[in-house]
Amino acid sequence: MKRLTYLGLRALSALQHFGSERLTLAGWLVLGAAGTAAALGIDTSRTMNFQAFTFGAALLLVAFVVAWFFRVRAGVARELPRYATAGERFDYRVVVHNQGKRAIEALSVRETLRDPRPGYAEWRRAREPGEERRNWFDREQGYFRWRWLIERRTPERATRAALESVPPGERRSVTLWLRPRRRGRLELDAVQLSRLEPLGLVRGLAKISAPGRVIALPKRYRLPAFALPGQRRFQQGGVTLATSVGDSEEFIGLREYRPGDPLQRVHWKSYARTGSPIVKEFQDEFFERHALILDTSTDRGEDAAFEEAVAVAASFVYAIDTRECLLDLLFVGGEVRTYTAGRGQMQLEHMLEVLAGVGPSAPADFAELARAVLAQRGALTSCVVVLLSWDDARRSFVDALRRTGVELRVLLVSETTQVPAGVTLLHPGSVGAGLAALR
Amino acid sequence: MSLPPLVLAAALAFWGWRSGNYASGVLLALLLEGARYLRLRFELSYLDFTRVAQLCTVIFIGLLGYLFASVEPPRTARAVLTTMLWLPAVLAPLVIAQRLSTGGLLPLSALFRYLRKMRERDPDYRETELDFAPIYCAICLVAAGIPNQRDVFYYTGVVLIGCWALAGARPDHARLAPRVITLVAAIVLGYAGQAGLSRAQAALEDWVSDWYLSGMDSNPYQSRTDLGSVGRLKTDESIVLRVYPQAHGDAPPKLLHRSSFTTLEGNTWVARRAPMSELQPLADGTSWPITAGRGEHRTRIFTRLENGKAVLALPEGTVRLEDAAALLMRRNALGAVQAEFGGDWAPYTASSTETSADYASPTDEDLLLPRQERALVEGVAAKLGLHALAPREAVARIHEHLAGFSYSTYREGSILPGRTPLEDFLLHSKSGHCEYFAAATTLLLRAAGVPARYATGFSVQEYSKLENAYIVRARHAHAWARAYVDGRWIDVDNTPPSWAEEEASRAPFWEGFADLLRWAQFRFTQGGPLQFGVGGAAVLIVLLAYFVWRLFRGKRAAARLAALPGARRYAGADSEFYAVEARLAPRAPHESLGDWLARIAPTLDGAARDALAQLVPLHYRYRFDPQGIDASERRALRAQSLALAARLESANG
Repeated sequence: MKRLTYLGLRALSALQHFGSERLTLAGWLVLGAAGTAAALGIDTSRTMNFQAFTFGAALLLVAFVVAWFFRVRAGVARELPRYATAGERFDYRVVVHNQGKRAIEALSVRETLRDPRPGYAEWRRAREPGEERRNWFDREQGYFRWRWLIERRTPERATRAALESVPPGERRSVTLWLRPRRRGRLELDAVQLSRLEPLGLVRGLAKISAPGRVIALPKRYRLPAFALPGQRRFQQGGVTLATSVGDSEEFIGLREYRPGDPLQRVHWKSYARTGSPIVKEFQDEFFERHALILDTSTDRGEDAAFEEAVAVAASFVYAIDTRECLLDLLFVGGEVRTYTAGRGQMQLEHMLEVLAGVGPSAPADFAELARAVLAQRGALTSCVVVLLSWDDARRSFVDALRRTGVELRVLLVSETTQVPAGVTLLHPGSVGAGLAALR
Repeated sequence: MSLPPLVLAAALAFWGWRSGNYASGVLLALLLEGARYLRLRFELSYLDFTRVAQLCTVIFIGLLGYLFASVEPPRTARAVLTTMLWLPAVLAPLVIAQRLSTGGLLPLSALFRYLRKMRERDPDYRETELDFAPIYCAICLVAAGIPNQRDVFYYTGVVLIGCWALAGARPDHARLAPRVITLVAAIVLGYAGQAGLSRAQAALEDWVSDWYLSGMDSNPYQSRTDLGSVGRLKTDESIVLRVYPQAHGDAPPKLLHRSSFTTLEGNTWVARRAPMSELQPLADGTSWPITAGRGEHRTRIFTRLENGKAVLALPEGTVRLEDAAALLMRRNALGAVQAEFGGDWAPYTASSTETSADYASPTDEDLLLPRQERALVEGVAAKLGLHALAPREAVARIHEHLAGFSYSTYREGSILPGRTPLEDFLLHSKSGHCEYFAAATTLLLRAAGVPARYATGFSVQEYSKLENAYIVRARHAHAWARAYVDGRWIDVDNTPPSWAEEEASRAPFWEGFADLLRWAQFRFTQGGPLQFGVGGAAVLIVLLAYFVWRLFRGKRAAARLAALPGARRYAGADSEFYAVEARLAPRAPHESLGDWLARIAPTLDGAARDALAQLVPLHYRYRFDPQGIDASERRALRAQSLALAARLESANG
């Protein structure tokens, strides 16, 4: 039964897509009028409405047939930025190259996206924000959930842009825009060229394949200027890939190459003299190392609180000056993942890119994350912990961190009204204001 | 898409002409098309449009309810169709409001409650504005098709006005020739389609009625029985007849006959050589003589109709039908009377006498034994010694023999191979329902040389105190035999009398409640049409006038604004700050907000001044900043403005 509902929803979406891509407002009006006339004229001996129905249906049929013959020979290239931000509109150019022998007239250009319909398992598993407040029927049928899933996967896109006449062999460009609704990878499929048939009811469509990709970074909030507290800690062995070496003594000597030593440290002159690889050895370093811990353990899926938590983490990644310190981002994604930025290592954009792909993990995974953080507490200067809920596990984790003497800033993104001591509460929807008040 | 000038007037005139509402059509055409050319404009907000839409909804529902209560059956179809016919008049206020508004467009959320709720909840909600006129034009064309005038003018009108309206959707690049060719193709295809559709429906109706009637009990030519079927017979509690004996203290007829059949073919009884002939009413148009003679008993019966038709259930010896407003009545020689009334229930009064019955005289068909049952029936007849008995004695002997059988509507297993259902009934199980008894009686009588027929109808056995009448349910359908004894046909019902109690015991526990509903529905369908007098109309007109006055009062836009064709609402027009402004000393047209506030500041208290100092920059940004303000600022503007407005209101008393 559920599978039948799923198939019905798929078919309905396909029908909606078919109609919205092809029919103009006038086309929808004719369709609606013909449908109403059909309902009223179902008994042809009782009213004359069946005649209005046949005329409306004939108009649409003829218009579809004419539109079906629309053909265009053209190539399309997009000029896309590499990154965008969730919720922010970005503009880009689409260049249409006329590869035919006749001028292309009266064309409209629009972006085409990959099929956004979710799979059966995802549709069953997902929970729309606030779904628990919907009535039994809506929860069972899952139509609103289906609509929500499709909507969040589909960026808002520019309406059809008119393209000026393109002579044969020439190129013309139009500017389109997209506004990703959520962070993550945005896959673009093809560019749609369309032209209205003479009645103005139906569009003839041509899809020109032009795959493209934009990474929508998480939304970021403006953080007030603040200095992360804490003192520099001993970092055993330094940071192997660092391009600048904070406070290390210059270099303490040479030694034989051991497997795993970076090429950067090979002392080429000695290598040339001895014939065997020799590397430079550096003294251990002292510098600040901050950890940004993102709690992804939730059973509520990617709801508003989760998205806001990711946005908060992204805001910190963006705000912490990592020229002179290191920033570790820790979260659970199947296993505990650690990404380190700063001092010439990973770029900020890459860290934001990582955050763009973060998804929720099982509630039980928090213990694993807590263990991983506590294991490296000795090296940490300070911790920014972004939590999704407040329970015993999280309380004991925060207490354990406090006991180590690490400077701690705990942010709880939740709709709860209970504020635990020493925790900054951020309500989804007014996170910006909450963060602005941070000192 | 925007409508070319005068299309709406043409559509309304067309609707007025086709529906016969000439005056309404012309009046609406003048109002709606005239509004386009008037310079008068009103500043209508989203709330005003919502009120107009709600008014239209109230009129629509009121009209539908009124029509449902007052039209003749079939009510639902007629009420819906008539309401749709009047839809252009019902929706006219929306188009007038749109055309008289300064924006010239209708906010979509005014039409749908769901969108209104979304708009209230979501500060980022983006309103969609639409031109309602093309939709209204389509509604007029559809409504014009509801009066069933079978001529070519409806299609012609739809085509002409439709093509004219579509001129508004013509793409700039479309050349005339391809456009005309496409339109002509659509017109020709549409015309062919409508002709084909009519024929297709006729063919479908023929096919469906053949199929439908073949399985119906109300078919006077054949009756399919459940002889030999396994399991429990399905019963239906619905009421099909209401019987009112006319004379006080008169018992109702025990059996009401509908059809008789002569030949058993397999499981089906068929009426052979019994063509229907039309009955002619008397001068009053409601009395239908069936045969000569005077009725001694009068029985008033209400019968439920299937598609307006019924095979009438009649007492034995009915000589005349009275008070039957039938369109057509036909009768066959076996006594089945078919009538065509229209509606859901039809009343008639049957006059009957025990001594007279004009049924066809016996023929060879009435003595025929089916080949597969002949040996069995003759065997049983020989065992009972029926051949030697006079007809009346044979009837009594058969009755005596079958009295030892039991009544049952349940059959556990299928009949063993090589046996017929009747053989199983007569020789083995000796248990069955009325069809077994009736068939066995008929065939045994025939074996005894007594002409007999298989009769179907209803048994009258249940009296309803609620209705003060005998009610006959579908499960009271019954079968019995008719025997030709002493020169006349008599009913022979050998089903054990216990069958009535057994059937009644299987009634569901909610039957009483269901009967109450059925009775209410029956009473409702028998009620007369409601009258909507001059007084009602006057009250309605006064209410409407008051509503229109309330809606448009003080909303007239400045002439300057109205002079701008297609003037739109400006950004930030819905700022709640205007509610604050309205409650303070008036601002001169040339004054900026800052100047005005500086002027009136001395009249305000400190708190109000502070609140205004915070609100004005926010309002200015909402009004003029191309970036706008974010959701939280928008909420703050709304909340603070409304709070201040409320405070000023209470301070002003």
